[in-house]
Amino acid sequence: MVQAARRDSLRENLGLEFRRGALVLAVLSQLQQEEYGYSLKKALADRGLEIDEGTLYPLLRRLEAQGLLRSRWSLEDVRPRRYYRTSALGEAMQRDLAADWQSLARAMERLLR
Amino acid sequence: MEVIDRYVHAIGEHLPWNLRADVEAELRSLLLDSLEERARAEQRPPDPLLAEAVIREFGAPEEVAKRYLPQDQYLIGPRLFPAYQLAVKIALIVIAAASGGLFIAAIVGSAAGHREAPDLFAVAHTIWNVATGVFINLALVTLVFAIIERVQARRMATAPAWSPAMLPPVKDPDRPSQAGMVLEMYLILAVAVLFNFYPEWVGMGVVNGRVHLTSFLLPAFAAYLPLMNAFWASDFALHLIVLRQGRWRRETRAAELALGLYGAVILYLVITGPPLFRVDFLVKAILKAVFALVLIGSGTRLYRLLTRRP
Repeated sequence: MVQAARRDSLRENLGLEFRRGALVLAVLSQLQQEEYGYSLKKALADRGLEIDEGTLYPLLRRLEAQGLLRSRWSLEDVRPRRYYRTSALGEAMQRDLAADWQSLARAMERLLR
Repeated sequence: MEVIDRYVHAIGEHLPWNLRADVEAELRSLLLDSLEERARAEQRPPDPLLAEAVIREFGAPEEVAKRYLPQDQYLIGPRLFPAYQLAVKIALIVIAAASGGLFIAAIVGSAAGHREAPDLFAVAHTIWNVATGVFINLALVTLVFAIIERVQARRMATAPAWSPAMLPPVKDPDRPSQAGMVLEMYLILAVAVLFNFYPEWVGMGVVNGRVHLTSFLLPAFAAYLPLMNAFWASDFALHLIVLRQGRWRRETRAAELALGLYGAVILYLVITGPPLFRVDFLVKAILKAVFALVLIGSGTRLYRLLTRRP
């Protein structure tokens, strides 16, 4: 029982570890067009990537602080919303990371075959 | 929705002031989006119960706030921590040496004032001064390192690229520091000369604001000197051998252990023997603590001797 719980916890931690890096690329890839936090969460979920809100929203702020995203407040919706979109640096970074991802995916494919 | 306002406020409390208003406004908007979506999915109007379910999924306020803050925030980070530990050790050794002197001065000073028992108030006052000294000095060391940590974090971007040449040499516990060995030999000699030829200098008293050299050894102490001389001579010879060999070997480690046990025997005889000091009960109380430390040290040496690979 204890061993199963330990295994689950370890599995969760290791899974989170490799998801963490992938999330940045996923977010950059979906922000080629403007989205606000909740619409981005839904867009990612619709494509099969569920992200916890408490993780996604702070991540948007961090990417903006790193210059990979830019944002603006919109007062035109039912309530004020902050919209995000990739900056020029973010677009270049997305291309580089996507290339890295594909190369890694091919290598992993060969390793796990 | 009041519960959402309270939740957002609780997160804001953990954020720096320059981020707070903006993050709070965005979070409030996002939480209301989630609430509306959930109410639509469950085909019911938004209510506090639903709001609680939404914020429960979001996470504890301090956890959420932590994710908005820069990562790896340390008071003293892993890069500076070894130097910090060393500085704390040095500060403690200096304070221990200085306070040991103060303590003895307080005891002998009160004894030299021809009181029947040491002035407990003076002793307690000295202990209080030492405790405050330790606290203030450790706080200062920590503050200095915390400032260095902040300054260094800013310099990291311009730091030179790391290279293997920067790696420190591997510490070899069997290779003694020559300076350390010479200093220890000097101290052994100095103590031996002091106890054998100038016993009246062992101790220092403060009477009416003036420093007096007053020995706190009683004549009976002389009976223990031959045992101590044998200890100092052996310790000096052991240091000399290790210095000539350039490193500690299994045999010299065993000799060090045997010498430690011999020292413990002398301490035991002194502690259980007749009165030897002017304030015998206090000096012996200190010697009991030293005796315990010597035994612990010998135990550690024995364990290392038995478990270390050649």
